[in-house]
Amino acid sequence: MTVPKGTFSLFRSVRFNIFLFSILAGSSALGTFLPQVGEAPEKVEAFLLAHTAWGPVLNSLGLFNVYHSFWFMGLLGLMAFDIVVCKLYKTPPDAGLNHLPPEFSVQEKPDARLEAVLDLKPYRSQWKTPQTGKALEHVLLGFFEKRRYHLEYSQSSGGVRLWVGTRHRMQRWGSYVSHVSLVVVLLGALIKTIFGFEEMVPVLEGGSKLAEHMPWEIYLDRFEVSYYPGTMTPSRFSSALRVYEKASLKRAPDGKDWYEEDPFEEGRLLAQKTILVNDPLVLPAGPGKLGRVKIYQASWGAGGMFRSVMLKIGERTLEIPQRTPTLVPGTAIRVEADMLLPSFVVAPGNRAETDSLELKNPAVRFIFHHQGNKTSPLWLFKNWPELCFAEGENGVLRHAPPPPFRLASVEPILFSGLQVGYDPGFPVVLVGSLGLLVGLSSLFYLHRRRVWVLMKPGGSGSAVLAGAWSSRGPRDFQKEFDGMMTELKVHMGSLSETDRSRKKHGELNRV
Amino acid sequence: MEIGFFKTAAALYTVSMVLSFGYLLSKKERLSFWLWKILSVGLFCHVVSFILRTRTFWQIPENRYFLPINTFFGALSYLALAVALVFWVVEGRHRLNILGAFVLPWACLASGAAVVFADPAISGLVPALQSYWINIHPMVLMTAYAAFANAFGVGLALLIQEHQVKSRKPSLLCYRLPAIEDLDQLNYRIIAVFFPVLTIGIIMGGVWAYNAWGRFWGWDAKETWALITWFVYVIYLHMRFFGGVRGRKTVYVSMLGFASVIFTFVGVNYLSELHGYLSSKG
Repeated sequence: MTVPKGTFSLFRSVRFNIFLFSILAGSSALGTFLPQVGEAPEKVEAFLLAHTAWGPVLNSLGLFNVYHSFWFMGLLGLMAFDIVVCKLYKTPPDAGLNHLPPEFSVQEKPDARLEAVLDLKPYRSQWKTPQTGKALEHVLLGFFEKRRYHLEYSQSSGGVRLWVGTRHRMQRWGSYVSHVSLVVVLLGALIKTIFGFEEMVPVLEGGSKLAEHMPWEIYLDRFEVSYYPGTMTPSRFSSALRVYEKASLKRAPDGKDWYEEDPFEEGRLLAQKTILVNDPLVLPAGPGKLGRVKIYQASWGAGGMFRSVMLKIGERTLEIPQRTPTLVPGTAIRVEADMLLPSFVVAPGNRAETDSLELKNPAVRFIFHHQGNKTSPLWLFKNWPELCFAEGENGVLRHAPPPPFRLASVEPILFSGLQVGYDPGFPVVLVGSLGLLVGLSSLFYLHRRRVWVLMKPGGSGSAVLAGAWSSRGPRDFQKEFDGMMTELKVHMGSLSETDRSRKKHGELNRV
Repeated sequence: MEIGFFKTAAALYTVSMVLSFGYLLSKKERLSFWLWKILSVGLFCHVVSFILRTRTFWQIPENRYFLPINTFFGALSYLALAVALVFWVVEGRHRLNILGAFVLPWACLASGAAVVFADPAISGLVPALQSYWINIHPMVLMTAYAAFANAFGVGLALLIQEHQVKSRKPSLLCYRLPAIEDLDQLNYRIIAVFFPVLTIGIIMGGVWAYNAWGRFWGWDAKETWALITWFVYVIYLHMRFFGGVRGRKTVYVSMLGFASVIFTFVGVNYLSELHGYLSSKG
């Protein structure tokens, strides 16, 4: 299929293509330097607060959500359109006979004589041979077959015969296949955007949570994290899951949340598995949907809840459950532990905060009760037994003297961050990617050569005129072409073995 | 012991580089001979170091059968090895002799940075990296990066040669360096051979991400910069293939591509938590 010349000429220009790729590369880079909503919404907020003048301008341009902005999607769409237009206009040369080298079309030179065709070749050689007719053709056939050339007989006009031999014909499809495959990859991404979903479901150990996109309740029976000895580097996370499908779950009128018609329904057990990173739970997507839904082990952390803490008072150890005032033996004091920060930091304004959900610097807040009065909350640290902060009523921290007790251990209730993903476009992306690789490999790794041999009877023998074209540079093919022609001359009886040897060693000029 | 072998390799790369500069600026053919020999010994030491490091790495049960490139040291070490090895192959094939002066500095820089700045301690793989993909995806990409370092060297040689040819008083360099056309063709051949390798590396990363997190592409800074590098080399190939542009202009684009490679390898560590060698996430 060929689009008439002049149509979409802008899209076919190399200059426009290069401009488009440059814009895509530049805008992709922009998104790595500016905070992005999908990755770090808190950083976007902080940026907007810090840059009140031009922050909103950047925001209105979608620069905090570059990769999902309308203009970036538009650029990707334009690239796909551009590829389609270019490849429709310039389909690969037809698979049949092609007498002219690829840079000349028959339409441009309809009356080209066969000899003139060979004038266009970058590689050229001519000689005379005593052989004629079928014997000569037999030699030619044998010669090209031995070199695995695909040979086609062209035409006979006034006794002139043209043979065209081609090696690695597939190479010409490389550019076409790789460009079309790129469009297929983009199509796969579009399918995911329209039909797929990704959601993060954080579930506390021992608890359950409803998925957002599927009528499923996910139970986390056990979450385990282990570390390499003497380090804080995790070596393994695992979540023991059970997934139930609940028939009584219906969409609320807002179309987003679920409500349970029967809160006592246990549901149908769909699957249970202990998942690891790189080893998800795979479930069918349900009737009418292609592909599968996968539940991945994506993250984990401590959300602030804990089963109990151990407080060391002198030689004694006191176990305190969360938010349960516990009597200190031998005294009238009750101690309550109400909050855990997994990675304690002092935030601006001298306030307690956590900068991570990992247990990097666990700190627990204690309140002491005595005769109906409460003391100021005290923050104690597992890793820093001498350190203590007192928290004022307004939440402001101040250093406090080391207390006569220390935080021995804390048993946090961890949550597992489960990524539920459905990507029906992935197989399409995969097919496109494979096509891209096949196309690029044939384009760059195959060396397409085409040799034209024209034979003209005359006198006691024939005049032979040969030309060639190569998909690579002249320096790569000239030596090979010269060698081939020398061999052919020997086969046709135009050159003796001795001459060939001399020629090989550069003693004889071109025949 | 593996560090000893590695430092020896880095030192031999440096000696080779010095010899390559010596060859470039003098007429002594012997320097080229010794450059090749010393580089070969350096490569041998590097491979031995890598094997020993892998053996130590496998003493941690979770690391078994994976390659030790999870740290900045491991990645720099492999990158230096790949740059030197690709140069060794290209030089062995084309025998330009002068290429070392333009390529070996990158091997020296990578191995030197590993010795000076990176912590050589062996660490356990975080759960996300405990996948057979770690033996393929980063290796494939870094091999492509190493080849682009070679292409950069060839491009630099082309620019110098062009300057020499245009100048009224060409120096000795002009006679040492190959013809502009040869350099241009070699620059293109290296990029053309390794561009599909870059592509397959990026795709493998996507498949791994899909297996680990359920998404093929997440616009993480590292993958975005790998894509930017890909776009730059796409521009280079379009200029040559469809625009018929040769020489200086395409070399500038290939150099921009290599700048993008460097940023993808080093700079992005400060932008990406997922891929950063400075982060324990992954």
